[in-house]
Amino acid sequence: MLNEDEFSALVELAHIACTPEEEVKFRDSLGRILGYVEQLQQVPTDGVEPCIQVFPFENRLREDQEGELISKQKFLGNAPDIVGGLIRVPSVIKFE
Amino acid sequence: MHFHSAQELSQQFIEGAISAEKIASHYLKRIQEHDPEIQAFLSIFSDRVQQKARELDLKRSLGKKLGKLAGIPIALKDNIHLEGELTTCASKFLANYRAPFSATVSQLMEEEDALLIGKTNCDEFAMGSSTENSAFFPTKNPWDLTRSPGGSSGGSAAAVAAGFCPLALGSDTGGSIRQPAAFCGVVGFKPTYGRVSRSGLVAFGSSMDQIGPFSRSVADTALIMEVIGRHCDEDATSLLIPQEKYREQLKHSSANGITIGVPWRFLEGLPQETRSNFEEAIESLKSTGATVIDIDLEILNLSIATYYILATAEASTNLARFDGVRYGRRSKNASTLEELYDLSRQEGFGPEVKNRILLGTYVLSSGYKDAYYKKAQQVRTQIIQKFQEVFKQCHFVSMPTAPTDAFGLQELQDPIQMYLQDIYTISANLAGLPAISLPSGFSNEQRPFGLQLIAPAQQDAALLSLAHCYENATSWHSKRPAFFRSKNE
Amino acid sequence: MNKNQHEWEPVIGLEIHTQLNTKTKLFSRAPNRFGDEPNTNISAVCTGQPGSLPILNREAVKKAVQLGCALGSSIALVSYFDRKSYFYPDNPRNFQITQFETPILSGGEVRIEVDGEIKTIQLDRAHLEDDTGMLKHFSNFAGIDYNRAGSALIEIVSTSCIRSAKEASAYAMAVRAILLYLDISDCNMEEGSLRIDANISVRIKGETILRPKVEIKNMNSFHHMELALESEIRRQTYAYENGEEIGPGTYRFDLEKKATVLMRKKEKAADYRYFSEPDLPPIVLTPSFIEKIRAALPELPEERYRRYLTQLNLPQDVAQQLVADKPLSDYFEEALKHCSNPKNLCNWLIVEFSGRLKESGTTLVTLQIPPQHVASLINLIDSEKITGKIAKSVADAMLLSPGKDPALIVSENPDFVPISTASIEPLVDQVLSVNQESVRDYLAGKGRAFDFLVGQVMKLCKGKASPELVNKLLHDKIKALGETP
Repeated sequence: MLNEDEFSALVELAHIACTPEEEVKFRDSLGRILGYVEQLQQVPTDGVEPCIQVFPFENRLREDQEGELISKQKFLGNAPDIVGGLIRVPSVIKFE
Repeated sequence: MHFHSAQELSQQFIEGAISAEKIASHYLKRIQEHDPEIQAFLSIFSDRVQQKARELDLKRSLGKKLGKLAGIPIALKDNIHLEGELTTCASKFLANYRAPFSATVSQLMEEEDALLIGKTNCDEFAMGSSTENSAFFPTKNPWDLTRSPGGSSGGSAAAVAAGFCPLALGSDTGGSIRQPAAFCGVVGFKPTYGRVSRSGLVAFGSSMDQIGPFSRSVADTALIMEVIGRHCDEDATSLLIPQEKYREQLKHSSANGITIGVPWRFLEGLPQETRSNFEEAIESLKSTGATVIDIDLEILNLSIATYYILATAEASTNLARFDGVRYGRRSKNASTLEELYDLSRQEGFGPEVKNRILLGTYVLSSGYKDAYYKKAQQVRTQIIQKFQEVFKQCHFVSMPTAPTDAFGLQELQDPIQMYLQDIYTISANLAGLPAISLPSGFSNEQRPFGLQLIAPAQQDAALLSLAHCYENATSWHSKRPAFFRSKNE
Repeated sequence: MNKNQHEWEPVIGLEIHTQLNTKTKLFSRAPNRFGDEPNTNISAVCTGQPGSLPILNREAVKKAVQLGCALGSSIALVSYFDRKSYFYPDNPRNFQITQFETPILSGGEVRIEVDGEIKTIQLDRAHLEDDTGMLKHFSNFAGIDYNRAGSALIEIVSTSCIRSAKEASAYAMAVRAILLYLDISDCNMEEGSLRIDANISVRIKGETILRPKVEIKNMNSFHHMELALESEIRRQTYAYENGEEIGPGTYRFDLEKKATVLMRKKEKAADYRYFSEPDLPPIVLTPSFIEKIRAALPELPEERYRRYLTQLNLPQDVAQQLVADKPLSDYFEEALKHCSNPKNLCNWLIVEFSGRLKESGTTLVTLQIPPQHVASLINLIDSEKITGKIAKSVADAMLLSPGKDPALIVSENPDFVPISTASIEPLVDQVLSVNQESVRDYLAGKGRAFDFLVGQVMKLCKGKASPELVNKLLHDKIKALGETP
């Protein structure tokens, strides 16, 4: 079971806002699911390779050639807010 | 007509006994009349399919070569793209999202002259086992309208069971094709991982997702698998093997010399009705010439925990793109960028989706990744190895598809109880194995049960052959829901 | 003058992001091009559409291996991709596909020369990853262009063995030169195909601990980087000397203030939740594939430098200058095929022509003056068909009429044809007769009197005489007049 601070941090990381009621609800169900999956801790797995791929695929490279694009119209057609051909979002503090 | 097999329908069309336009209008009418009670569909392509039907009739009249799926109406689960049409994933988040490209399977089917008829309902983002997590409405089981059709591909299963279309595609990450197939008394097939392209399928658990067909006969499954079971250059996890001639192989299907493993100890917890039905199904399998042996698959008791850690981890990142920036729902209440993310996702996602994103984020987070994610990856390896061991003793594995027949809508409130619905199906996704659910009879309340068969990786053709043998030894697949038997057909 | 109590040394590591010059992006088939209309070079993959899947560009892998060979890195035979999760509007999936656990290249080194000393900069690793889109900042909103999203990047991470701003600059220039010589990147800092971030702390010389480091981003040129690092070194040294602490943070270089400015304090470390990318199989390389690439590598800057020193006998600084400018160096190589005086050729390229072109910002290449023509000019000088002075005028004329062969320029202009011996002799006689005092001075041992006489003759020849010829004629005639000292 996560404490309130841990859960708040998780919600922030997952970027899902929660009302106080939702926090209680989700914290509870998360706690129960974690309680259920805890059983894996008892499983002896020393020396077992973690499964990274279910089948041993390799490479799968493609040629460096142009292919199917999406038109600007199609892309911006689904966009919630555009200005001057750009997708608009609220101001961001310069990250880079 | 609507309970014709896909093959029969296509045959009649090709021979000229019936026009594509007639087929399209017949099915559209049926859907319009009866789907309001079932609610299998989220969108119906009335104009598009009628247009395609007219073009197909013209093509036939010009003597041009017709595709393998010519004249067959086929529905798509609404997490599979068809360019220009809405792909909602049954979520408020994508309620208005129009697919900018077609899924490979959609392209392949259209190339073979299929009549794509509509998008079916599902659990939101394929997360669920009852189709009750759809943000729009739940689908009802055609065999009993108070019951769930299963999930997450409940809409597609119900559509085929109700005779709205002979074929429908779903997706299976933990059992989402097979369990609804069992609940709806139809054939549901999950191919080997990588057999069918995932390009154009909205990703949930990338290392487990597979698209597969619902049908009312194994022959129809074989038909559509010949079309969609191809290598795809847009999917780096697509198998590099040639197309397979499934129908050809069905002709020679025989269960003589076949050994089927049943993990009796693992099945000890089965409710009595399910057990009786399963035992009956095993007898039917034996009658086809197969030998049944006992095998150990105790490790599958860990499969749900393993799956929920791995699938939600992958899903938490696959769903991170739904942030209100480029497409989908953007909250009107957001004034900062942070709010744009947090509120759009709060408003757009349903509770089960949020549950899984939170779990997936948690098991990958710093300090917990080794204990949860890495551990689950190790157990997954053990499950894969166990199956490899088991397949040295037998050719196939059999289990019931689901622990019970269809549960009631709103009956399962506890998420863990819901997760346990997939106890028999999930391991095939963890190991990438092909698996099929076949109608195996009915409960006392006349609700369907399903028999599951699992094969080693890339043994899809052999699996379909065995399924065909079982089907020939039983008559369950020819039963129709009472609801529709009473309506004039 | 060092007023500090202690002697401080900087501890610097550089992260260089270079955009590969592949035709298409890393996992998307959209074109990799700069400067097009926003949101036109896009595909489902690089805009993060649901249902889209990444497919790895084989050319990017090849270029990474080429880089590994050039840097002497250890090249991983198996390397995986990882998802790096963080939310940002220029990140189309809110996770980047990178190589965290298993970079394709490990280790490696680059040799640099600073103040005459050679130093080897050790590298930590280099890996492939995809680029973000571009955020354009406006007054009260931001706009996103995804043209750049998904472009192939290689991130080269050095160890923190760099000990001065000059070393950092030399290292960055050396890496840039390698990238250019391999032709795997345009290395254009203005266009963003080469970006550098620095991590810097200082410590007392002799200390082995590492103090908190600061990140500096947004340095748009090597010069800015040097200034930024120097500014930061001063800032940190001053702080420590005055008993202050240095907290971790991200800084940018402010050109006006000529100082580093805090962008944001480091909050808790971001949790990127790295895990193996399920949509992509690992890159699996064979030793023979790597060897084939190694064998086919083009000449690297260091090799070329050595060749210029040992085979062409060019002076060190000339060789360095030439090698650092690959287009010019290539031009030089081409011209050298048509003449046999590398030193002279160098001089004309680096000094004479470069000097003339500096203000206009054009080059011999952009003006389309073929290398053969410059070679031709050198040949004309060497064969004494024109004097050095005339050659300068011919060079001017070549720049005015690019593409015109200097031999033709010379033949068309009588002023450019050197004076014949027959024409010089009377002028020499004239000078000798008018300057008899100088002749006597020279005969008396004053060497400078000879130079004066040479100058006088040259004046009369209006620069059209070869100095060597004038020297000889004067010398001979004076000898004839009397005893030569």
